[in-house]
Amino acid sequence: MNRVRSHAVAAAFVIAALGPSLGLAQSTEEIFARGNEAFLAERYDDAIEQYERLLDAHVVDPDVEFNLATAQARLGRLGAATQHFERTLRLRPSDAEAEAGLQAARRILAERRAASEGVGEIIVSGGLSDAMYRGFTEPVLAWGLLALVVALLLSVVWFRRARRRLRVGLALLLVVESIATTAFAVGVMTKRGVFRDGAEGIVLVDRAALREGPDERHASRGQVREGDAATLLETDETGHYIRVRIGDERGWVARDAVGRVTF
Amino acid sequence: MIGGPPKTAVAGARVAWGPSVCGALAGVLWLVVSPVSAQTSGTVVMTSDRTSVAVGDTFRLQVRANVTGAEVTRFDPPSLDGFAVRSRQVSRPLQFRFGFGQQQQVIQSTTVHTYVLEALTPGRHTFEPAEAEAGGHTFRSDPLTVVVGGSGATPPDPQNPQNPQNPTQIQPQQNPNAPAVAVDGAQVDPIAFIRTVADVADPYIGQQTTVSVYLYTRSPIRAAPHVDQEPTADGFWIHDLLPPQRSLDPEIQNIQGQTYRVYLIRRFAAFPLREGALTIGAPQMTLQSGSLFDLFAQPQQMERTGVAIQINARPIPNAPSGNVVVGNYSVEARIDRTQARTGDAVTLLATVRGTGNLRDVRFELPSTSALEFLQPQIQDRVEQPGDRVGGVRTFEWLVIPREPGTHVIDGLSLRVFDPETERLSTVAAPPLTLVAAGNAVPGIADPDATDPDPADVDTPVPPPTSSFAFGPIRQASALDVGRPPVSSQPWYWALLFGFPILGLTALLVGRVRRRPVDETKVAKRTARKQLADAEKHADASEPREFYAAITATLERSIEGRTKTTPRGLTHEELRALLRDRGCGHDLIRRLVEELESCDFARFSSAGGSREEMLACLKRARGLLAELERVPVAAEEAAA
Repeated sequence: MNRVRSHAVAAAFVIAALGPSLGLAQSTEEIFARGNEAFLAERYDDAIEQYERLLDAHVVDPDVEFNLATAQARLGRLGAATQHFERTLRLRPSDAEAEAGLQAARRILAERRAASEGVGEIIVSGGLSDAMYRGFTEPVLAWGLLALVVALLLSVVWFRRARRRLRVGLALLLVVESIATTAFAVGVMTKRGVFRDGAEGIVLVDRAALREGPDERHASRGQVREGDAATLLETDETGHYIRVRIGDERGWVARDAVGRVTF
Repeated sequence: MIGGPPKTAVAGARVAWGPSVCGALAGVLWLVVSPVSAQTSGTVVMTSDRTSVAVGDTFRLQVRANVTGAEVTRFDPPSLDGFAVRSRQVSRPLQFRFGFGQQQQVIQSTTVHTYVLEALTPGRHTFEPAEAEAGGHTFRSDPLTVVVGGSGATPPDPQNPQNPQNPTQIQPQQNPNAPAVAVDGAQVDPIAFIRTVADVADPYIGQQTTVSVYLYTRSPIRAAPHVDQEPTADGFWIHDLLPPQRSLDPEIQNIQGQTYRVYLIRRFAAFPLREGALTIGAPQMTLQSGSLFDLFAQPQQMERTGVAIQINARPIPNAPSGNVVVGNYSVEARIDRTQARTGDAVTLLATVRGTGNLRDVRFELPSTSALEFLQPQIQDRVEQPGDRVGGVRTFEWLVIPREPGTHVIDGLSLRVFDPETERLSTVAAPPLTLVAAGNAVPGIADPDATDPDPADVDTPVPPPTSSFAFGPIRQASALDVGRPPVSSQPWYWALLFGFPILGLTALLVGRVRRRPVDETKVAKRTARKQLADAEKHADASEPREFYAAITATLERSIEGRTKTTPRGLTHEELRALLRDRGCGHDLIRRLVEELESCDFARFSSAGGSREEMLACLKRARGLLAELERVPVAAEEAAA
């Protein structure tokens, strides 16, 4: 009798412990399905709402980001589409469809500008290091760095104990491993934003005012353009304005006018 | 507060010459007899520092009679009816100018009557000409008109007679084209000061008020003053009215009896962006006064700060929600063709002309399923006739008909508020008609674009509707919950740096363990200790122990060098061993002798004196020093 009771208590504990997670899993799947249904019914606003609910629930998934980007693009919000295509590629650099979508969104934005202004240029993010490590995710680089450090250490030990004939080959191996370790270390630092002065972002609203201070009463320094890459430097106390760097320009824009790419 | 350009009424010189030769002869005679010239000429000038005042305002009226060749004997001021005389001053500076040789002696007489008058009744008052009589001649000024407006002028601040908002004595604009003064800020200085004025004190939001900054100096300036701080204009949109390259020419102006040079430093149109009290900040300048051609005078450098002025921006009354522009505008629109194929781009051109801040002018033409308007290309041609900002703003849209049929474009209208009449009106271009033919073409925002017909690929489609169909979406997903990056975890860095640290530690420990014991150093250290013990035995007069210690020290040192213990060896074997290690004959001989003598002395009472022991100690130290220079057997083998 006691054994039966103890089993029942244990089962209750297991259900209590796993219940929320099971419920969350079902819930996120349902939300994702509802978003997809809305998309297929061409109710893109509804689809976006469902996908954004997933993001609010801390879902970080390349497929959700891709669907969100696609829905935004269908509505012509190419700045937001660019943001979410970028996020998709951060999570899955090999996603060819996301890459194609990103390039198409940028091309259309540039063509729009060219049609109205004669010249269409889109500011894209990152420097050389960002371009070099664009094809790698942060976990790949981090684990690779760890593995390389261990391999380098083992190679040093092997080198010390190896016979003289083997040492030449081992020395070459050490050089190669050192270079690879350095490259991976730079990659990890790049992904962590060590070489940037803020998080990466995308301008979502075309011709939003770039102001001298975090208030609409401050003088305007110009306008920011939809789809341009921005570095998000700091948020003001109220949270309504964010200081950005776009190209060589710095200033404050409304918080809703920019979206974050960095997770 | 209210003031216009100062007027000067100057009568031309009215000289009465003797028409006849007799007169000339009499004049020549008078020249000989009289010490002064008989030629009489003169002018009478009547001036006022303001020609437009309000009732209750005071102003200064001055009548100046300059006569050469005679003294003023009678002076008739103009009638001052309608004004209260607050003060009156008369000065009669008399000047003589003496000539030499052929030059004449001349007397010059000046009479100046200065009145401070207060306007009592509104209207247009004309001062009749003033008259002066000298030398039998009568000289008259021109009449002078002063306009007295109704009451309402700002009363002077009794606490601050130099209230910067009420510099009643300053009239900077000699130029009749200069803007009027409604807001005034200056702190009058006897040497130099800055004055900031605006022509509209309470403009509507978006209405132009022209702000001018003047520099007043008593002496000329050597170069253009350096503006250390521009007048700030937070809350305004600013348009400069002065060309970047211009000459800085002063105007002469009399203020409170002092002559100033007035330089126009800045002039800009300010358009309020929000309602309420807005401030034009105080400018700051550095200037060098003094004539450039005066080689002996040192230039004087001065810094002056102006006075901030306040503009009270008013909201547009009864303004509807949406975009209302302030000014006076007209709108025209045309389209480059009235018929087009669906998907072809047509150019729509709208031109807005008028006065006001052109940057406020914009149109909203939202795209529909039938017509798509791309972002317009906007060009401005700003003009500023008479310092009123205006010009032409041109909008150029590419319009793409998406559906066949007749489309009417009628959104080109502006809500305009005219601040002069204070009326709100709508200005619109006549509707335009565009006839589109062909099949419907989906746009970028068109949901139909999801499944483009391959047959439409060849259809000329404008760039913004590029043939990229976003999607399809992903139907399945792992729905990963976000985890922090691996590299942000503390354990990751512990592992990353832990492995190398562990490896290095292991390496160091192994190295330390494998480190060979340096027997040479140990032997040296032991020998030094044994010698010290021996010295103690010598001091304690213990010869047996002393010589035993010396013997042990030498043997240990030999063992450290040769890796062979010398105990049990005969003297010959010891010699041979030392010889093999490369010791010199002399060293070998002395070592063997010392060991023999130590063995002998340990059991002899003769060697027990302290001096003997100390001498032995000294020899032993010398032998040890020489032995240390002998190569160690193991080192030699390794080499």
